[in-house]
Amino acid sequence: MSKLLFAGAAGVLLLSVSAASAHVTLATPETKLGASYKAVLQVGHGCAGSPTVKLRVQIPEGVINVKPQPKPGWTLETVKGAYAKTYDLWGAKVSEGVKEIVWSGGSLPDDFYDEFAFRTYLTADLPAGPLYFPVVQECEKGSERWIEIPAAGKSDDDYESPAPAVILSPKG
Amino acid sequence: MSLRGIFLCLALIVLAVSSAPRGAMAHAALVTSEPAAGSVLAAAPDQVELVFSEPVAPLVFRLLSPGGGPVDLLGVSGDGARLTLPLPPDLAQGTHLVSWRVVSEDGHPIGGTLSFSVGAASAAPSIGAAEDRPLGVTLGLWFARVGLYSALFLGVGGVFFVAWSSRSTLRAGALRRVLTSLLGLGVASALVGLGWQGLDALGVSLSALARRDVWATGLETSFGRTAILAMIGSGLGILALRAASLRTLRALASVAMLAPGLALAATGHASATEPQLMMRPLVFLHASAIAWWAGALLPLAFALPADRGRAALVRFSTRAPFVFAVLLISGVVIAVVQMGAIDAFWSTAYGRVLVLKLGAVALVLGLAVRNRTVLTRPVLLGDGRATRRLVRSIAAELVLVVVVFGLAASWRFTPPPRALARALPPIELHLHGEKAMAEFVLTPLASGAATVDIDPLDADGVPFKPQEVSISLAPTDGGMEPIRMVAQRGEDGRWRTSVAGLAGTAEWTVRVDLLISDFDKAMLEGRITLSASP
Repeated sequence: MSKLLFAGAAGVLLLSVSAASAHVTLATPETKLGASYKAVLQVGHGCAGSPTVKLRVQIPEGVINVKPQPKPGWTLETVKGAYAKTYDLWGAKVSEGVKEIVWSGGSLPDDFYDEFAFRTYLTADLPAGPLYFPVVQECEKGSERWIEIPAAGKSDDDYESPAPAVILSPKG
Repeated sequence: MSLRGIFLCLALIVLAVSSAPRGAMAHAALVTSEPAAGSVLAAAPDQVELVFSEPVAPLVFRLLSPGGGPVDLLGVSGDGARLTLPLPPDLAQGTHLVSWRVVSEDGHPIGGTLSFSVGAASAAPSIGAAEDRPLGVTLGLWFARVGLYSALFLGVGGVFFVAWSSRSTLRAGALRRVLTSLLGLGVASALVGLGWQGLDALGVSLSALARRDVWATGLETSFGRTAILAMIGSGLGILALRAASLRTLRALASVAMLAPGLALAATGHASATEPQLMMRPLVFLHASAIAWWAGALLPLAFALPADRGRAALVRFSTRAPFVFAVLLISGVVIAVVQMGAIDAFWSTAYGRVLVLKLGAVALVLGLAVRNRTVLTRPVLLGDGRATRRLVRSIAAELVLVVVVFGLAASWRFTPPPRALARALPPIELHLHGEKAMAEFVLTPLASGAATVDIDPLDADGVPFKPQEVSISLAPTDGGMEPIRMVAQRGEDGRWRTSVAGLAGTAEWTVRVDLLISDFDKAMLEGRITLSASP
């Protein structure tokens, strides 16, 4: 009994170490396809100690109706463009929209934490499994690119700077 | 379950929960290390110190040394941001890799690999090992070479000159004895050279001379061929001196005369240089010319005072300039290939020996020119004083020639600048991915470092210009952390970087990251094998 508990506790410790991350991540790690999704990017640190001054996120194909949430102290911009195909949004046809969101002009010290949110609609055309939102974090000095998308057979843990991901499950 | 056990379990669970993912945290980074990355140390360090940008907890540390597998480093002690890794005592000469993996405050593990060298870097052990050679071995190798050069150039060359230019000079019994002794010295030097070459190749001291494998190893090296050719040449020379008929003497001497060129072309830095199709014949010509020219000196020195050999002097004088031209031209081409750059003349040991050798050759040339222009005519007219001066001058030439042999023999211990800059063949790898591809070329240098060249190609195989190219190299086995580098783009469109040191034989996993756009990065992986140097 004691041994079992010990092993269990040690296992939790190991797991929490490997899962713990100073990465930029999404607050809600799982969601369903064909539904709205509020993406919240969690930024836990700057670039090697330097404060964050700009955050850019790329919207993957198949993610539509994107509306970023303004943040006091930050200038919000979006880059719009045509989608690869036309999507159906509550009966309306949509063929273009936000492809990139940029928060800039603020300053988030390395010691502080903040969240950057945007609302999306995840079309049913997306495949089930992980969906990656590549993020470029720019700081007063240097930058970090959270853009690594794991190759087949690998996981986020195999990479230094994986892109934030949400696991999509089929519409139930 | 004991109360103590329950408390321990609770403590572990609390620890586990409290170290679970949290929000605001910072990344740790390696700030500095002692020894520094890529440094070459005179003596083996007993520890490695790593300093991070913030406090870290140690995880896994491994050491990869030349000729061994990865070893876990235990007993790592930490003091906040500073970690001390004790190293095993008496690290071998060569390049060592220390892989480190730590957890920063936020629970995010980070890792890297640090490379440093003891004595000299170890990508090319045959060169790196030069410094710890025992004095007895060094002297033996040197004397054997001086002996071989003397026997091949003065002895075999002398027999050839006697056979074709002036058999009458042999009537002076002293010349026959001197030539026979020189050829005997050649056989002895070849034997000594074999044993000492074996000692050096195995890196053992004089006491191992009785071991059979030492001699077998000596025979297997390229010097083995040289020693055998030199013995055959010397033996044929001795036989030629005892030949009854002129025809036999000339036949044996002519075959023996192949030995100097073949023996030198079989071994040595110059012969091993690419393109060998050019370098080996050049070395053959250079050595044959030396034997032809230097071989005439002893017979002339012995014959002229006895009022013989004037006909031989005439033949020598008319042909010597052409032979000297072959000698100089082949020598210049070999030197240019070996030196690579002008500053190698004073910045490398090889270059400094070459400067001394050129100085000695210039003196010999000065004497030879004076002999030919000032002394030869009066000697041929029977001027006794001029003859004595010519013989003294030839004796001086002989001394200088032996000095040149001594200098050339010391090249055994100095790799030419060409070899220091590039000794091993490059390793090429095609990396394939969906978004992009890359041609990867790693060129190990004899200094232990390596250069990496990357040609980025898009998905269709067309060269393109990524925003950034970074490379990581990690030993495939043993859980070592990668060495990371950022490449710089050269004017030719290739991306280049260098690695301070890679350990001898190992499988390495290569990852090349091509930043295609701000959000898009191609990550290409492959494997290379670093083989031990020849």
